[in-house]
Amino acid sequence: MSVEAFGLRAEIALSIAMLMLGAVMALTSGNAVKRVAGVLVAQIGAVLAAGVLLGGDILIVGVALMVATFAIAAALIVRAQERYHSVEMRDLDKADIESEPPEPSAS
Amino acid sequence: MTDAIELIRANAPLLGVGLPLFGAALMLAAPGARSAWALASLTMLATATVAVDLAMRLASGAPFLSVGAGLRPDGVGVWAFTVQTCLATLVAIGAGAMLREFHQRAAPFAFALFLVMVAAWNAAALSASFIGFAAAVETAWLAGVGVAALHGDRDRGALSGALRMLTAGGVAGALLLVGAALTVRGAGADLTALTEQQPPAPGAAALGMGMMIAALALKAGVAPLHAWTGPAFGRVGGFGALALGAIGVVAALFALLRVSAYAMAAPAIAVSVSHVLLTLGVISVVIPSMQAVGAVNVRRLAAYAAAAQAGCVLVSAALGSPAGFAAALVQITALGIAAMALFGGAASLGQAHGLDALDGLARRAPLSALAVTAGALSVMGAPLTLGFLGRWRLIEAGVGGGWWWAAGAVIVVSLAAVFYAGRLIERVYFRRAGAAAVEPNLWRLTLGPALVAATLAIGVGLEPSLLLRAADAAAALATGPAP
Repeated sequence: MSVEAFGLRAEIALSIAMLMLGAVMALTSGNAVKRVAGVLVAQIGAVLAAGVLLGGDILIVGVALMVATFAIAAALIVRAQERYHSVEMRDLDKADIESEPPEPSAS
Repeated sequence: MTDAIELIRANAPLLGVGLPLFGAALMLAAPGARSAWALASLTMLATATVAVDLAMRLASGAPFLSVGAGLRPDGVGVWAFTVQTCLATLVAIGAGAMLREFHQRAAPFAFALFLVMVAAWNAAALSASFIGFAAAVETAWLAGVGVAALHGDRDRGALSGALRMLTAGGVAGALLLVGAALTVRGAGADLTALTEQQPPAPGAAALGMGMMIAALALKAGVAPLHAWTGPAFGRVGGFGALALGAIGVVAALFALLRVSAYAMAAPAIAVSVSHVLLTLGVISVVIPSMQAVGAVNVRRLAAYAAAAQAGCVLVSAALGSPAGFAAALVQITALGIAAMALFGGAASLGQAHGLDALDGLARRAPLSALAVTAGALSVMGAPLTLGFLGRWRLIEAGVGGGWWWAAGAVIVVSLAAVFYAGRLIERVYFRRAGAAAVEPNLWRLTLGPALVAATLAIGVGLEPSLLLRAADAAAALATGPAP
């Protein structure tokens, strides 16, 4: 394997690792801000991986989607803080359950 | 004049994306909720006319058009474009009865986001390239999150649901982008690259397709990736539930079916993709069926029922045969129409969303009760309904492909559905009305589209020949015309 090919694979592996790290953070964190941060880390990893695989054009698409995601996420977190007085997912769940009977868990 | 009409017809796919976007831009000038509703309804009626005309021309043998702008119609894409646009038109008209869910100033934004969502799902149904497809799906998803969040003023649970949608969908979006990039690297930029040649790097293409299918399965609420559906559907209000359930989930399933059709046509990756679809499908048949049995919220129950039905769709697609794709098309259409009838009928309950709100609905609001009943019958796959037709086609396709156990999957879904959908019907007709009477309001007449959906759920089940012929034709052209 040439040095160039090794470098390419290392870049892809690093990007995918970043994606996975962000995904775990987004899906398991107990704080809404950390969840959104995880989504952004995952998306940065995805954009980097796609950029390495396909070149620069896809970066425009990826960055546009990231900015849109961040804008909506920021608005949602502010509104959640206003309505729930917390951004801890446990507090949000507790408030939701209090206003509605619980059901079997998702999985 | 004739030339102008021909020009419009030749660019039908472009109009399918452009008209809703234009309507969304006009929303900024809408002075209030009623004008925004009228504008959205007119926009969707125009788009639906374009979609139905395109479908009829293709059904009558007109050649497929290559219209540029990154759009390329194929059998599944045109079917999806037509069905989701017609459903979106019914949702837009029916939204007239739900305007009180929004503040006067928020309503135009809700309709604008809804139109952007429809435009983006149409783009995903007609996109020629993997990157364009991924960008369209993400745009549609973000618009859907916006629709859900706008109900947060009335019910803060909608904010929690939207937040869960955003985090789960954001991770899925990252997977979708990398999956699309890997597929482009492994096969080529266009969807047709998978079918026209031996992929230069089949391993990368298969991995990319697997990631794309997982991401789309999450957006379609397929178990076990459906953790966002309960919190989102349960609290987003009538309009949000209709937009996400009858359009979002249905369009995501169509998008999943479309990329699967291209992948299954590529021998180098077909087996891997079939295994992914089959695994997700079987899990999604079992888990949501059990959750629906325990559900205490009407909209959440419908979301779990949709996830169980989505499992049958994935099993059909995993067959990889034209009969399997035709069965999947009929099932997704049945799901969309049943969701429209159920969510539309339940919209008359207002802010109430518990199962007990349905008690005695037949006496309080007979037409809404009729819509809920038709939707529930179709969900349980009762004979002479569209839902039964979809499941019967899956059994036929499964037995034809040697998958006898597929009939077992259908029986599991149907038995569970008889229990939970039967519970809805029992409450509607055989319980004493406990909730306050449904408020008389002339705008409730705009819930008529729910009755249209109820009529379709039963009527098409009684006379299915046209639908079945069209589904067979669309499935035969699932990857576009023969070269």
